[in-house]
Amino acid sequence: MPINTLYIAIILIAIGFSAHADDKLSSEPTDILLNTVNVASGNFIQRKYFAVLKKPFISEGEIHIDNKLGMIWQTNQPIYSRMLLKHDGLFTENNFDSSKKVKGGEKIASTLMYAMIGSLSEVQQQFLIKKSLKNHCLELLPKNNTLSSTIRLIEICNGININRVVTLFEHSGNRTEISLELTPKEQLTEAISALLK
Amino acid sequence: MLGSSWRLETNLLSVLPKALNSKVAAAEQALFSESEKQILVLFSGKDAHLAYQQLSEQLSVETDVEIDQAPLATLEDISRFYLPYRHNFLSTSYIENLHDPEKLRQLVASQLIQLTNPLISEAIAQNPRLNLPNYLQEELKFLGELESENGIPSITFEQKQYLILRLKVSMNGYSLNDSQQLSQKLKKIFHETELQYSTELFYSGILFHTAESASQAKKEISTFGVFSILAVIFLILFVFKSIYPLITALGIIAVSSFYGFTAVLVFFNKVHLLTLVFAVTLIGVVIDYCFHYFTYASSATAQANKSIQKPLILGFITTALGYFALIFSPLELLSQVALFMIFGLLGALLIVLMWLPYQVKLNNNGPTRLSLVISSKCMAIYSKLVTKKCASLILICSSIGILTLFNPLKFNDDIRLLNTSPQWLLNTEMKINQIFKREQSTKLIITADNIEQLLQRQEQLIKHITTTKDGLTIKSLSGLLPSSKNQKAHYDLLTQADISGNFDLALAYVGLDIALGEFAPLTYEKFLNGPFSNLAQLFIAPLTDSPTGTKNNKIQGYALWLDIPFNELSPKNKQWIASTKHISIFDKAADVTTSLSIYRSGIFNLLCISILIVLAVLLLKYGLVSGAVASIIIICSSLVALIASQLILGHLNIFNLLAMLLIIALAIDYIIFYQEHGLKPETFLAISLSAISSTLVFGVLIFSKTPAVSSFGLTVMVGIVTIYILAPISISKK
Repeated sequence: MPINTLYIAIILIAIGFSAHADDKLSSEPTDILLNTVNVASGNFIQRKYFAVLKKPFISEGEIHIDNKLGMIWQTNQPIYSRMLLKHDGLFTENNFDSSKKVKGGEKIASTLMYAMIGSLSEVQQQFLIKKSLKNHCLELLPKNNTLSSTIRLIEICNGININRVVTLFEHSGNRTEISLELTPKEQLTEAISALLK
Repeated sequence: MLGSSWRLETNLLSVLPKALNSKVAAAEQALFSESEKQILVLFSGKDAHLAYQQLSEQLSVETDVEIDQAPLATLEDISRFYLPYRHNFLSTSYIENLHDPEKLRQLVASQLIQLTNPLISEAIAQNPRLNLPNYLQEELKFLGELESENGIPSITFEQKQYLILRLKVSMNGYSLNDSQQLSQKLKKIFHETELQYSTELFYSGILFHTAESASQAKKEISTFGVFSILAVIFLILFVFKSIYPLITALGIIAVSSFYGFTAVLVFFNKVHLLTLVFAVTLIGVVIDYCFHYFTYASSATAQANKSIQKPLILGFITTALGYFALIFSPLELLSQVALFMIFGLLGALLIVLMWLPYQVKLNNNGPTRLSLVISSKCMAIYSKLVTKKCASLILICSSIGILTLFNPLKFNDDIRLLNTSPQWLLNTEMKINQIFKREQSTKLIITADNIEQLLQRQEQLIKHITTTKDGLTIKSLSGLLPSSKNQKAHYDLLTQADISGNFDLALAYVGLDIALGEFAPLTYEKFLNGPFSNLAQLFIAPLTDSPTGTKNNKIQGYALWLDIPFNELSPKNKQWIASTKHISIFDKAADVTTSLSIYRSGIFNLLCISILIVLAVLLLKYGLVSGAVASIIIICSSLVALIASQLILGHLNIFNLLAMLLIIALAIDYIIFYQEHGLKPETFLAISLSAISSTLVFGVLIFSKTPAVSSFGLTVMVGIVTIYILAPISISKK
């Protein structure tokens, strides 16, 4: 019957379109879905969900990013700690230990940093970037064996201006949700920059 | 010689003295012998990954070399491995705060809020107290900067990433010929890879050092050897205008070498390559015998012919007695050289005295008239020197005395000064050390009867050293594999704190509580099967009763090593280490240098004894005055050679001393011939020929890039020139 033929044709055309849809979507520039900034400061709320635990661990603090120098992630609540991502590695300090280098977290930390400032071109070598099914969100899927052994995917969801939520999903079922309120800056303060040099 | 089983020892280091303590030597051998077979290759650049893949595929089909690379363990693997023993490990932060519930809660909280920590993600379900991730985070930093880039080990230095490829060769890195061939093959493959891809490639390994040294030596042998031979051939043809003396001399040298070689094989089952290298000095003395015969060969009178028999025999006896003392040297090399020389000279003497007189063609080819005229003219200069014997001797002795006073003889036996590796290879090694941040360090070796004892001794040592010096970074396996005793102690501390309720706040914060369970230690056997098995094999080795340590040999103990930053061992700690018999400081260069010093002193003493024997023979034969003058000349020639060498080189080494072997042997011959014949044209010509040919053969060694060889050549040349000038002074008859 003609209407059945038309119906089938429409379905076939839809299939034909959708077959190319992923290509079209993956080739669509993803940077424009995120506002990119080079230098920013702001606050964060981190929620860490462990699969074996009922409630998340919530921490709050301040963040300072300069994509040329690195990142300072300073937790003030519930307990003070500071993480510095510098050229020569990832360092932590807290009430118990003075600054010491952290082995193994540098790649993940730098990925999160670039995700936070929307600088996806920096992560394209290590990650496949896809548009998420959620509105205004992107998914980063690790290509690298080392990162892929820990990370299942990173989701970046755009908010107002450069505010966003970055979620790190691990294979273990754990996830880390970071809500950011960032303000773009010309440059970080001298005191902050000095910590990263 | 053909029937017996003997071998040529080409490992140049085997001539060096063995460690005085055999157990320490066995431990060094077990721990570090494998490093002689290792090669490290680093790739950097845009196409480093492609180059890495290509090279790995190419080398995987080679039989002489294998890829020796275990995949880097991920943090998740490490965490999972240690989880069964999670309650046996406490960091300093935990130990210090076990008594304080609030501090423990804060410790746990500070870890939970970290932005990223795979160790915590893996451990939290089974280890809510989080003591294990905290401990591992601290201990893993000793692994350095190694990362994994797409499964390939890598390291970043000055913002440049280097991919790491570790190879292992199948032969001993010190084997000369094999090293050369494999080194050339590998260098060709590396170079082709560099050209094919936009990548920079660095490589290092003992194999390349050995190959470069051997290649350099071979090049020098062919360059210097060809020059020396051509020069000597020209000299002989000029003086004798005939090929027969040359052929005869070469034949005698060959036969005497055969005599010497056979003698060494009778008493030793292996001949060291260096024995042959130093025994080439035999050529200098044998050719001296030949020249003496050739210059008198055409003499019409039987008297003239017989007149060279006596000095030749006397010269041989004196030289043989002098070398005899060296046979008792503790250095096998020296014993072999002494045997080679004595029997080689005997062979030469027998041929010269018993066979040459029947060679008609030779006897009809004496020196040319021109050469005898030149000889006579030169003799005239010497005659003046001989007449002013006393003044000459006083002048020489006082000059030597003053020089020795202001610049006393000093030996520097540092083995590093004898290094023959080319500069580009040393620069590459330095670059690789910078990349891996391998600072200069001191290695300590610990031995024990079993693993638990070994690990406990290590902990005691580290505690002792860090007590006197806080904050010291010690590279060891101690953190990743503590002793069972240490693990039990930590488990007990944790259990006690848990029973006391000190973890209640922390566990409430986490929202999980897992019972501690029974103590189960992480053992060495389990560690060998874990993600750090390659580290276990690197740091710990079983000691067996066989040097090769094959699997079926009985294990008699274990050894491990640890690294302490250079110069951080205080004198007090060094004293303490010296007093414990199961701990030793590993410093191969220093050990060899110390042993070389001991041996050099021994050789010096033996040479003095040799000279005394020679002097005694000369005194007995030629009387007090002539004997004393001859003795003074021999001693002065030796001292001038050493003083001049020191002035040029800045210091002396064992190879300058070994040059004395030839100088003394030639001095004896020159002096005895002058004593027996006086200053005659034939005698003067023979000695001149001997001096010139020895200078051509050995003096050219000064230009060698091998410090040992150039030192030897310099001293020989100065010594020969000096004895050539001074020997006529000893003449007692005109």
